[in-house]
Amino acid sequence: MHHGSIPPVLAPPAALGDPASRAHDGQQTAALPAVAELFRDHYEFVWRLTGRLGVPAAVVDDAVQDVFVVLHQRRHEFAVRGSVRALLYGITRRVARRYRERAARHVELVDDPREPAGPGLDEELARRQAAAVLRDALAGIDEDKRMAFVLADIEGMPMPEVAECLEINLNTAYSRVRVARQLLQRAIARHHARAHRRTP
Amino acid sequence: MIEPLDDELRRLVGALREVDRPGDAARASTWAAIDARLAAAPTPRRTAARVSWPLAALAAALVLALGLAAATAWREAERAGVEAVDQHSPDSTPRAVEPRPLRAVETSRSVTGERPGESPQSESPGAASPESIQADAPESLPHPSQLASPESSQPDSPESHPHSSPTGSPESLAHSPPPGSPESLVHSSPPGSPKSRPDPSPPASPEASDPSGPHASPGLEPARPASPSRRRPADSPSLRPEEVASFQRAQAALAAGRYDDALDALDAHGRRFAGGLFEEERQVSRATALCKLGRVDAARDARRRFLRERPGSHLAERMRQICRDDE
Repeated sequence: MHHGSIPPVLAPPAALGDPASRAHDGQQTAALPAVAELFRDHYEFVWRLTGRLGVPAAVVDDAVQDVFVVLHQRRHEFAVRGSVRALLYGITRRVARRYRERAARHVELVDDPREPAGPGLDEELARRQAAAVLRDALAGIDEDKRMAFVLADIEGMPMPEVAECLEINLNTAYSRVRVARQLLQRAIARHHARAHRRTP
Repeated sequence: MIEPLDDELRRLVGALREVDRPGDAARASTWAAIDARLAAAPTPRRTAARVSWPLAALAAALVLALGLAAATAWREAERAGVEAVDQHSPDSTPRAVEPRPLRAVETSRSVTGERPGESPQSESPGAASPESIQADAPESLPHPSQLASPESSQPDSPESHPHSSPTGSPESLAHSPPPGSPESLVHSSPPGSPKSRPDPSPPASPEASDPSGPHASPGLEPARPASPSRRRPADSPSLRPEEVASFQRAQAALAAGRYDDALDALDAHGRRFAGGLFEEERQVSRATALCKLGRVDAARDARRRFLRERPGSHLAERMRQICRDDE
């Protein structure tokens, strides 16, 4: 149906008594892989998204669970019209919003990973610092632009799929990614300036 | 399409990708938790869906049936209206339909105006049971109420005529009830004779009982506002019953060999329903009629024009056969 254009992430529930849409729905839902398979293939994707969508680090794992449980329980309502990742993104976004609201906290991206850096690994330390810089910068921009950048530049998703995830048109997706990059570059420059001032 | 990341941003993104990774332990524990939850609650939504589908189907069927019934009733009413139109000339009918309810009121009023003087007993049923009058008021005037219903655009005429007068002339309704005979009113209203009796009494009310008067007139009022919409029963371009009837009339004349009538009817149809559903059929029939009337040149002109304008028509072949013998 929407194959030509950018399809919506979630198809609305099949209209009552509409055999065409029901048949379509059933056919597409059958094509949705089992949860175990989806988990195997997309667990990390969902985990990363959950963090980037502002879910507190302490409850990221719970949120990820919720995403897959919802996906399983409501699989009959979901029709994958495009990419499975777009479907997952839609669910993750909703779950993440709930967690954010529950936490009732200022948006805070994933904290430093749990395992402490190994001793004497300068390279690893530098990498963590660099990651922290970007994470802070991401935390400073609004979700629309942040997620456009996350999907396109961090996840490496093709732009049409990004647009599908965000339920926006392709041009809007491009423009969001561009604006996000500019904002991030400015934030990083500010960070460097501050660091430079601190350690002359 | 989109420019590559600048070096600084690419370095940071690479670092973030490296760092932000769930551990294997987290993955295992998350899956274990999901598995447990799925086992504990085996898709409750699905059972709900299973139950709700038949219900939904039932509801849909019900709605469909209701809609179908309404549509059928509407169609019937429409057809009745069209037949009524057929009996008279199409222009005169809407005008004839409108005043009828008013005249009915006037006559009933005049009837009652004489009745109190003639027989004072007539007041007693009205005064004895005002409730019955109130209750009857809407029911005792079935014709106006039928007129008032926007769906039954012109169906009143075929129904009211047979009931009110065998002659079928619209005026007969107004004249048929002579002052002293309530039977004529009884005839004009549906079977229930006890209900028809209060009919004369409401007009008696202006003097006798006030409540019934106001009740009677509101019952009639809607008839007038509804009448303008009655002129054009259905604007739906798909299938207008009067259009079908008009064309059928022409076809009947053609089949009966009344070619002059058929020609007139076809021309009238063409004027009234310009570009209508039967335009092609109309042109074919018209050419046929012209040919039968011996107006061969006109028939050939019509045929030529048709074949030029509508070469792909499914009636083109039929059109080609018209007046062919004469060539």
